[in-house]
This record gives sequence, C-alpha cells and structure tokens, in this order.
Amino acid sequence: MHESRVRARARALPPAFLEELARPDLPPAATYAAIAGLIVLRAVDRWAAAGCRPLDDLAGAQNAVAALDAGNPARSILGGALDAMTAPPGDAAAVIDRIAAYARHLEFDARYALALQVHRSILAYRGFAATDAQACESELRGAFCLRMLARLDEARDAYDRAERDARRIGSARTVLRAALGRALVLMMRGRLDEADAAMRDLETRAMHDDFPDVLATVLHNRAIIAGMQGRPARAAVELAFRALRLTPDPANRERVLFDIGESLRRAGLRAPARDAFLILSCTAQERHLREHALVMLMRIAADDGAREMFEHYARLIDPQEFHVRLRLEHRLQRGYALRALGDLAGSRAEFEGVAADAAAAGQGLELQEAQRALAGSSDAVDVPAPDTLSRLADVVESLKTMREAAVSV
Amino acid sequence: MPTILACLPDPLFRAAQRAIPDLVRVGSLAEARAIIRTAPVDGLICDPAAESDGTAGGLFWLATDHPDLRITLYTVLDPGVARSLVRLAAAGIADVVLFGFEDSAERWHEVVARTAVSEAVRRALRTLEPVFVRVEPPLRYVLQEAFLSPRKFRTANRVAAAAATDRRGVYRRLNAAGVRTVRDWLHWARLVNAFALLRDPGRSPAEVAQLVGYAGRAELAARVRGLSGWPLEALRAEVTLDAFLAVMAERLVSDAGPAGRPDGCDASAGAAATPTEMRRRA
Repeated sequence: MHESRVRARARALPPAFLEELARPDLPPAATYAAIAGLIVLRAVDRWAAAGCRPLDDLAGAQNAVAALDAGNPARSILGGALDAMTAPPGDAAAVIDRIAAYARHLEFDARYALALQVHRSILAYRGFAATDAQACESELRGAFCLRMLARLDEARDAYDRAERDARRIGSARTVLRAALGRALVLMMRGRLDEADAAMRDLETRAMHDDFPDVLATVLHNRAIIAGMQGRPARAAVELAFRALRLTPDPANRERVLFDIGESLRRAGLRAPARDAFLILSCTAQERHLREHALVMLMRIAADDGAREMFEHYARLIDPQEFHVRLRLEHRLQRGYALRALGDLAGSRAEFEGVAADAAAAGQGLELQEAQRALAGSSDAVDVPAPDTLSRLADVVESLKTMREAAVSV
Repeated sequence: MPTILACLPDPLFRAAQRAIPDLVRVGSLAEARAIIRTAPVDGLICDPAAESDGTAGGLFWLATDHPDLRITLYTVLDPGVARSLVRLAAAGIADVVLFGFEDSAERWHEVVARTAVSEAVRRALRTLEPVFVRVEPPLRYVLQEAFLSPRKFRTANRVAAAAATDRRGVYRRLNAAGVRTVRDWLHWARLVNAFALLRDPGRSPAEVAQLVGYAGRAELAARVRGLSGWPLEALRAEVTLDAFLAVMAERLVSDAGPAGRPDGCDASAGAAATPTEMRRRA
C-alpha cells in the first residue's frame, strides 16, 4: 500500500463531521457545535499520536469549545476532554471517557452519524489510549448508531465484533448486550418470531447470570415485539411495566415509558397513552424520543377526531431533521391519522411513500406495515376488553400522576 | 530543513510563515507544478478554497502526478471547503491544518517534521512491503502506523490491543512473515524517523529523541548503536538512507532476501561504511 494511502487512513479529518458542515442549511449553532467536535477530535488524534503526552497548544480547540452556547452540554464535555489532555500522562482513560460521553450526547441529540464517528475514533485508539473495555463499549454503541441509521448489515457485523471482544475480555454482561443487539436487528428486519425466540433465550440467560439491567431491556423489547406481533396489548403493557421496575438508567426508563404509551394506545386506551407521550414530549433526554412522542400525540389527536389538535402537533414536527427510521414512522402515523380524519387520498400517498422509502432503505418492518396499511388494515388497535382498564388501573393512575408533575414543571 | 512550497492567499501565508520562515511562496498551483518538475521539493501547503474553479481539481492532478509529494491543506473551514475536504480526503489528500483553530507554531513544526521524514518513512514502508503482504489487516495497518506515528505504540501488548488480538497472536503472525520481534519493529520505526530528522543540522539529537519518543539523546544513541551498529554521529554525518534501510531490512526481517530490499539498495551502497567497519574504525 502506498504511504499516502496509509497516511490518509491514519490522519483523515472525521468525514461525518465534514459532511455535517457541508450541509448548506446548517444553522449557526449546529455549525459551531460541529466545528468544536471536529477540532477536539483532531486534538485527541494528535494527543494519541504523541503517545498520550500532554499537549501545550490547545488554545484553538479551547476557542472552538468556548464558541458553543453556555447551555450546550457539549461545551462542558469537550472542555473536560481538553482539560484531561493537558493533565500528566497516565490519564488516557479519562480523555477517552469524556470523548465517549460526547458520543452519548450526540446520540441523545439524534446525531447518529456523528456519534458513530466518535465511537470509531475511540476504537482506533484501542491499545494505546482506550482500554479494551472502553473499546468494547464503543463497538456496541457504534452498532446501536448503525442500527438507528438503518445500516443493518453493518450493525450486525459490529454486534458480532463486540461479542467477540467481550468474550476475549471476559465480560459476560457485554456478551449478552451484543446478542440482544443482534436480536434487535432481526426485529428491525421484520423477522419477529426469530427475534422473539432470541429474546426468550436472552431472558433466561440474563436471569441466570443475574444482570437485572439486561433483563429489563430484554423484557422491554419482548413487550415491543408482542405489540408488533398483534398479541393482546395488555400483555405488552405488563411486560413493559416489569421492565420499568428493573430499569435504573433514566434514558432507558424513558424508552420503556414510550413503549408503554404505545402499548396502551394499541390497547385502545388513548387517554393514558396521551399522558405517557405528553410526559416524554416535555421531559425526554433524547431528542428523537421527544420528536417521536409528538408524532404519536398527532396520531392520537386524529384518532380522537380532534382535527385542530392534529394540525397543532403536525406544525410542531419538522421531519427534515429526522433520521431515516423516524422519518418513515412519521409518515406511517401521518397516513393512519389522515385516514382517521377521512382524507383517504392523502393517507394512501403517505403509505405508498413509506413503502418505497422503506424498500430502498431495507427497513423490512416499516415496509410490511405500509403494505398492510395499503391493503386496508389498521395498525392492530384493540377494542378495550371490559377488564383491561381495571387490570391496568395502577399503570393508568401512575401515568396520570407523572403527567401532572411533568406538565406543572 | 525540507523544501516546502506554499500556495496560499495573503493572510494564510503570513500566518504559516511566522512558524516556517523558509517557506517558498508560489502564486498558483501551475507555478508549483513547474517548480516540482525541475527541482527537489518535499512538501506543498495550499488552500483548496483558493482554487479558481472551486473544486480543488488541480490538487487531484498534482497528487496523481507526484504521489511522493507531501501535500498539506491549510484553510478556513466553511461549508464549501468542507465539501472539498471530503473529496480530497477520498483521494488520499487528508493532511489538514484549520486556520484559527489548529495553526499554532507547534502544529506547523509537526508538519515540517512530518515532511522531513516523509521520504524515509515511505521508502521504509516500501522496503517492508514483503512483510505487509503476509500480514492481514488490522495488524498490517498497526504495523504501518508505527512508522507514521512513532510515539504511538510502546509495547507489544499495545500493538496487540490495537490490532484486536493478543500478544501471542501478534508474534505468531509476525514470525510467520519473517519478523523477529515486535519490540525491534517499534524501535526501527522510531529510528527511521530519527534518521530523517537527524539530516537537518538545525535539530539537536535531544530534540530528535523527543520527537520520536525516546527519553533523551543517550537512549537514542544506545538504540541506534544497538540495532543498527552505527554510532549516532556517524548515522547523522555519513550513512545514506539506502544503507540504513538495507541494514533495517537485514536485521528486522529474518528471511528478507532480495525481495526485502529496496530497489537498488544494499548495505554496501552509498558512501557510508558498514556498521562493522565503523566499529573497527572506532
């Protein structure tokens, strides 16, 4: 291989950040954020190439970070990374921890391509700056980003690599998380029975090995699959509530809450479902979850026949900023909403658009749902059984209390 | 000091010249190309945004015609430039200094040092090509990276971790490719860089030692003598790159043979005496 090619691979600017900056419609705040991220990642590259020795000339990078809004969490995270790089050698793990936190911040902000780039940087530092455990975690998080970007083959390969690495370093918990990721890829391909079988196996292993957080995630995803398989929504709510009790991480709890809302909606209980989505639209840490909650509020308004509320929520949503999966989901829900409001032509156009885009992006799940919707079926909303409300009374009451607290804040 | 041309607009040229006073300014890429054809030039610093067609097309051609020329881009980051940088990186032109953020004197000194070692590193990698074809990625990339960033890897364990394998796996694959030890590989990677930096009479051995990752002059001198057999002073004053690389191939790769040698290069080439002769003289 020619040296210039080797050099290009080793020292290239982070392309995802350049591509972000090349977007002609990028608002100034996002431009500053992308520049700061790019400059700090470059500084980390130089620090790593210098054998993780403290760097003296970080003034430019510090200026780039100082240009960020005071309220932007990236400012303190990236500033912390720069501080750690001026510390004596031996604190390499602290720099990598901060860069990993930056990747997590980007994930919260639904900037999955940028987050993936940061995780790949961390993987490139394996061996001299990043520990095996840090690299393994980045492989897993990178796989998650690939999944959110609908790059399912790459995501599966990344989960395979993460599992291999986890076995090598003896992390049973990470082995399970990687296997869970692979099951989620199956779910996204629409192979629900295979995904459910894999989840049941994982549930047993997580209980046997005593990993309550992994067990919670497995239960949560089993609840999602149960909903997708058209099984009674009450069962999905009960599974998800078991998961909620076992979930310590606030971001994961919000995801579980979202799916409880969705299961309640499918069970025909729109009022408590609305409570769940209202809470998330106000308080969720992850931007894509807040946006997804707004999409579901739009849908519920249409199902209630409240055209004005539907239009209100539709105005709040800006699908240009959505990642591919949320864009498809938005169009699907909009299709169902228009059908509920009697606009059959508009509804059909949305479903056809979803079918074409989902086929192009290899999104089996959304493709199947769009095809079902075009054939005239609904998205499997149950008529509430007489005992459903009484059996879920605790859930409904809890959501009402949480919504009142969230809205009053 | 390597010869570096600069094809930059005024403010950028002045900023770069503050750190590199010997920079040779040219008015256009065409002028740079004419000089490169007729005189030895090690590097070029240019601004892709200053290209008249705005596509950085001239740089692609220059890089294609002169693959050994070290090109560094120096530019103000904006959306148009970001698009150019993506395309240039895909073509292998990826060394970038961003105006206002990364153009400290230390960064420019790093660019000069990289330009100074560019030819030696390129030829060392070419010399070791028979090893690279027998080692699969990612270990191959890690071995190459050791020459490009000599301070990065200090131990075999770190090489193993970077290549996502274990120490035994690294040794097994390197031994199969004819390389005796990982430790020697890492030291030779540093010495190739040190050899090129020592050509510059303005750099002290202590500075060179620090740049390649040794504690000081004494450690550098000990490594040079231990691995190549030459005293540090002789390495600096008398040994040619051909001779140095030939010794590297001979001592680093057990079955290097003729394929392990660079074109037209053997240990007796150049004006320098061999390490054995040098020791005898001493």
